[in-house]
Amino acid sequence: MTEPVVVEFLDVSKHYPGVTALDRVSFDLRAGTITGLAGENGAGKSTLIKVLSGAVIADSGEVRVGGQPLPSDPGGVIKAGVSAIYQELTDIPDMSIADNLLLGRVSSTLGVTRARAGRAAARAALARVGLGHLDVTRPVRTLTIAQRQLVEIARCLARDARVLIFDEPTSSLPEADVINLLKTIQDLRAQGLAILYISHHLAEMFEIADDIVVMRDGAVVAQRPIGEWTEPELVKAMLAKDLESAYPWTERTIGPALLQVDDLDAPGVRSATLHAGASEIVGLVGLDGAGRTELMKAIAGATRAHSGRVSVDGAATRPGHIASARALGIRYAPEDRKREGLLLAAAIRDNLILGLYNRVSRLGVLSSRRLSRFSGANIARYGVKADSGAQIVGTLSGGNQQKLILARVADGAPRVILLDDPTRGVDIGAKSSIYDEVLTLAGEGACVLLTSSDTDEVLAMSDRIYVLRGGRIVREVPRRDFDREAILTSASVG
Amino acid sequence: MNATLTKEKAVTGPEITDRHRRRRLFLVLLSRYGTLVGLAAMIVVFSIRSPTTFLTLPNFLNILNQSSLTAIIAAGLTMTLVVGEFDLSIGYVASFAGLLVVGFIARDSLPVLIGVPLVLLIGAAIGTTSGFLVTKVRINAVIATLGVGTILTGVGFAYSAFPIAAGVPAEFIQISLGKLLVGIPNPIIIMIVVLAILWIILNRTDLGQKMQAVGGNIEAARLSGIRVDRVKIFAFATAGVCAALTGILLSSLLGSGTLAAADGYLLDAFAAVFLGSATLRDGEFHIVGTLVGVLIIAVGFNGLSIFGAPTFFQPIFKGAILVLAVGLSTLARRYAKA
Repeated sequence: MTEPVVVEFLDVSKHYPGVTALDRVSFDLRAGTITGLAGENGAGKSTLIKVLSGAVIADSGEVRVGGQPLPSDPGGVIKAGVSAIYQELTDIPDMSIADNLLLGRVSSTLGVTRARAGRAAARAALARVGLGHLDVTRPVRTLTIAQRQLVEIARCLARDARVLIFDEPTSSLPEADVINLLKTIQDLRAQGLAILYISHHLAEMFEIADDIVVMRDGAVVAQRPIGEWTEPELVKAMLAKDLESAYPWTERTIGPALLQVDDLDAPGVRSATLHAGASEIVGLVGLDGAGRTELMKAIAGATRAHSGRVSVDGAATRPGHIASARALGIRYAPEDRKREGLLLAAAIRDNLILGLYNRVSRLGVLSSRRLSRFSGANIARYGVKADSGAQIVGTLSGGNQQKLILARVADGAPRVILLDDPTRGVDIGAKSSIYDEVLTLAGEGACVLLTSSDTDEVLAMSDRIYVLRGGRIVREVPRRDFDREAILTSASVG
Repeated sequence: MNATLTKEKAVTGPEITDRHRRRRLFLVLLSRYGTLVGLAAMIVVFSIRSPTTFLTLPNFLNILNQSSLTAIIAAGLTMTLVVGEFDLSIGYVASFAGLLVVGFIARDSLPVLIGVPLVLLIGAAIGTTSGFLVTKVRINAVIATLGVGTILTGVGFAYSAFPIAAGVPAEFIQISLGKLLVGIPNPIIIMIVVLAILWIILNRTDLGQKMQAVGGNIEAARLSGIRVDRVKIFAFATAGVCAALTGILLSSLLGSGTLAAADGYLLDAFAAVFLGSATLRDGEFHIVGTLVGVLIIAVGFNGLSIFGAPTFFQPIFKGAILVLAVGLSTLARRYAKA
């Protein structure tokens, strides 16, 4: 390790009321080095990123960039050469690529934009992320999500960044684009940038990182070169427990067919026929856009099927009618929990009771006593970390938010539970407790349909899977025949 | 590119965060309690300046009496804002209802006990129509309700072209002039009843929870099996009934049906509702807040007239209140995310 140190964390601590978010954290980022940062949600990764990007100021300790103390405001930090790429895009869709790239640092002479120089700088930055072929006057909205993310990286480069922070950059990307992004990040390493890479996908860490730093409860608990880590060891360091317990699949007796879908045609779904039994966990595997979400929404009545039939125990649902699907015991937990699942500005208890009002009311009148008992019971059962049922949902971590959604769909002994990527952006600890609950629900006789952006996870949890491609079901595979390579192949090519 | 800009030692962390926290706390307090403090301050100042005119029971009853019509229509508007919609037709609905009710009772000689409920039903029907246009036809609420309101203005013209026999029955006048309960004018009692009903619906029933869920995240509400269109249509229908009630009371007060008489309630109602959303809550619309908002406007106007402010000052006050109200409401929402 001879590369120069670019960023130094020296005994950095940050306390919030009742929480130590960072506990005397010390480590370095070096030029031309990718440092992976691993840890559960709540381990302190986000706070660390916020400190390094100037959004939050540490209580004690020091962060130095290129030997100088880190500026105390985000703008100064960017000027100092530290930029971050986040999970969500921060571009302006209607502006051109060039304008996006130069946002905040338009070259001008006496206030008049120097368009030519700007475009040249934009092209240079784009070339570094492998997008040199793009016309820089195109509006950003015409690009794919993956390309837009690369443009965001180019924007950081155009600001002369020498430290890049990647915060879960692959969580919204289809699998094929992930590979390309990882390659780009490796190219940036070769160009001498110091890179901090944060992801829940440990496989990505092993693919590109030179070093892995593990955080737990706000402190750095391990830092080793990549060669000295194995995946089980890494998980153990993050959780202080073993990997097998993260996916707690157990053999169950599968009951008679419960959910029956016949020849269903719906937006994004073409003649889907499938069945699932009581107590069965059925995975839906497919690339992004293969129709997993669309199939679930059509079954749940959230979109209107053109033709075909969905039935539970022989009773058919009304197409496009959520209430009728719910009356038959079908419950859908949406993929995008912030946009489709939660009232972010409302209290936990208002979110738990969403759509279940008759559980705590009589003749349409609510009983606040029954409501708080209902929410208290669910918070306890699902291990939601919160002060009380009155806490605002937007302040909870992703894992805890997901537990609320699970609690809501699991209430009242549903027959069919559709879980659309229930562990998206959730750390391994919360993942295993979510899957514990899924297993319990299946054990109680519910039929569970499951998708995940992480195919391994679906394979680990399912009794049987259907492979989707282009809106069609192309294969059905029972657990004993699970073969990752073969399944991914049939998901991507005929 | 490097840290030349930061050669001076930056201010140390805790100081900055403390200052930020104090500033944010101040803003949250300002936005939650600012309106209440403002109302109290106005009352105190007016009482000191004019103890014999302002600080009297009759004047207070007068303020409440004047407030009640605005409060009723504003409470209805609150319902539409809770579900994340808008209703710009309420003023026109009120004017139209005022014409209709006088027409029914004075011209067609319908009994008051039939004419009044009939007009309330028509108010509900108009609100339902707006709700239908917004949810099922998917017309933007601003356009749909502006359109409905303008149509009603035209229909009102046509309707009032018929000669309306003079002589509105005393029974009808008594609705607003009577004092059924220990000397309290009826409009105040009607206002209290209406606000209580709407408060209970919003806070103590399934329907109210559904309304708040729809306003909070319509997609999450829909996927949870809530029939969001019905919930919204209900909100519009309620706003229609409330607007019609205000129009009826105004006609009873004026003793006649006058064209465009209640159009001005629209702005008052909006100002009140937005002031209310910055009262006690962080930018959420709620009934108690709306009442506070109405009182601020009423007390303000009362003070203006007691102290003999020139007439041109009234629209200035009204406009300023509206801008201030929306500003406070926005602030409240922004700083709530602490």
